[in-house]
Amino acid sequence: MAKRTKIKSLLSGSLIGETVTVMGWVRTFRNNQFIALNDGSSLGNLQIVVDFEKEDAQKLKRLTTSAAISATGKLVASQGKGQSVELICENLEILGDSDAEKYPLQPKKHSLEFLREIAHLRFRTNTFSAVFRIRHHLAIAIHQFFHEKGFYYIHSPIITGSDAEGAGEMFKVTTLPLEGAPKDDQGNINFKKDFFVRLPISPFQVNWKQNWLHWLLAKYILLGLHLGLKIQTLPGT
Amino acid sequence: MIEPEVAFADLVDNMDLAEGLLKYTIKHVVENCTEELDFLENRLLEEEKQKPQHERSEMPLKEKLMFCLENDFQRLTYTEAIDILKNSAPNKKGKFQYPIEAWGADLQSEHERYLVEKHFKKPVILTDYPKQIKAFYMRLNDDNNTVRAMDILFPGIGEIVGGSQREERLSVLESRMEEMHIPLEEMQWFLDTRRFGTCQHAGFGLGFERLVLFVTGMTNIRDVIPFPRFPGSAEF
Repeated sequence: MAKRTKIKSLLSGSLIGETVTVMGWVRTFRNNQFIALNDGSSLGNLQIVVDFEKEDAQKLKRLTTSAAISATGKLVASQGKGQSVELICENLEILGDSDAEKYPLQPKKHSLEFLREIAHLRFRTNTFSAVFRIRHHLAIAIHQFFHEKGFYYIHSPIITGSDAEGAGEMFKVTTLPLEGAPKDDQGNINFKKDFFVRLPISPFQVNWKQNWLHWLLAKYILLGLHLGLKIQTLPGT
Repeated sequence: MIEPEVAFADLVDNMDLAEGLLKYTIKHVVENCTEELDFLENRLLEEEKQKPQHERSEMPLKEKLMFCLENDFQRLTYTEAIDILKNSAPNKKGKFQYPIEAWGADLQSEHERYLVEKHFKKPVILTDYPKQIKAFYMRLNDDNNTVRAMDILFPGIGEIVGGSQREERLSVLESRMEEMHIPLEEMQWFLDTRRFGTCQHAGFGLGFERLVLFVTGMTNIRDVIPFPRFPGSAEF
């Protein structure tokens, strides 16, 4: 497979005059000539100019929204409005077809609520790709900040013995089988046989309904003082 | 969740660290995600055109980010903030949904936003809250009434960071736990950290998704979590 260049670096214009290969998903294909290609590396699309007189007409029909393609050609300064560079396609390959009739994302504005139901595809929209690129940059910056200051990063447990802020009403963790669980003398499920032995009641549940995070905060002090280190934990856990 | 704990640090160190973290991360995005911020700001402006005037946000997205980068965060005590709020125009005119009457009340988002957006016009750090409305492990001040807590307040969303200098004195911690009916026998592991080499320390928590919401201007937390799970939805 030819070496791929990311669209983000092509849009900066520094590779004008070079022959490059790009791979991505078709956003739009208009006038049987112009492909707007996105590979997720940036918000901006790369315009690819296809010579429809030379190209196989059957292949052009397969340039539907979200089809995966590879295109090789020369990067030139664009004559048209709306983009600074474009790729003059010399070799076009369809990597993966996308049935336009069935593809749920149309080139129009969808509601956020609708997109939430197809969260696995919403990364292909401008809004969500922008949100998640920013999310990435925030995570990187947080790690960089603490690392530069000499902090150490600890992976803290996700499952804890504390039922804080009533989370245990929604989530329960057990290793006991739901059917045929061991019973005690009274016929109740015997949680003493469980991998996670339940705490009778969490002090934090009683007193910190407003902010269950304080429980976690308190917890890490143990590590902080025990190790004599400054620590921080992972975003998103 | 980002939760630094810093040994040998006091509340001022803690505030410096949190302010530094927020500015560093926001600046990183402003410098590296120009296109994304432009796009999201325009999207937001379009969306807000559909809303009635009073529901629209005070500042466009990028202006809000610069507001946090360019200002020193205003630091003041809870007690000072209560005085300001009590004498504020919206309080006197009955504009607050929860009027500020007495010292000791927990602040609502409307009060936090008033301090940030109207009164100081910069991000705010409130410190030294009444002990009744904060957690038991926050360090008790000499007045026996307030604790070394801090909340960082941002435009639009209110609290973004909460933290404190922690109570490192074993006997004070134990009596605070008794006061707040915390079963000491279950918390021996926690008290051990005060028995063996206790020291001054501080820390805070920053909700990562809350930060992503703030920086992207999105309003629903499900839209900044890659694969959100909510009741009836865990398909992925």
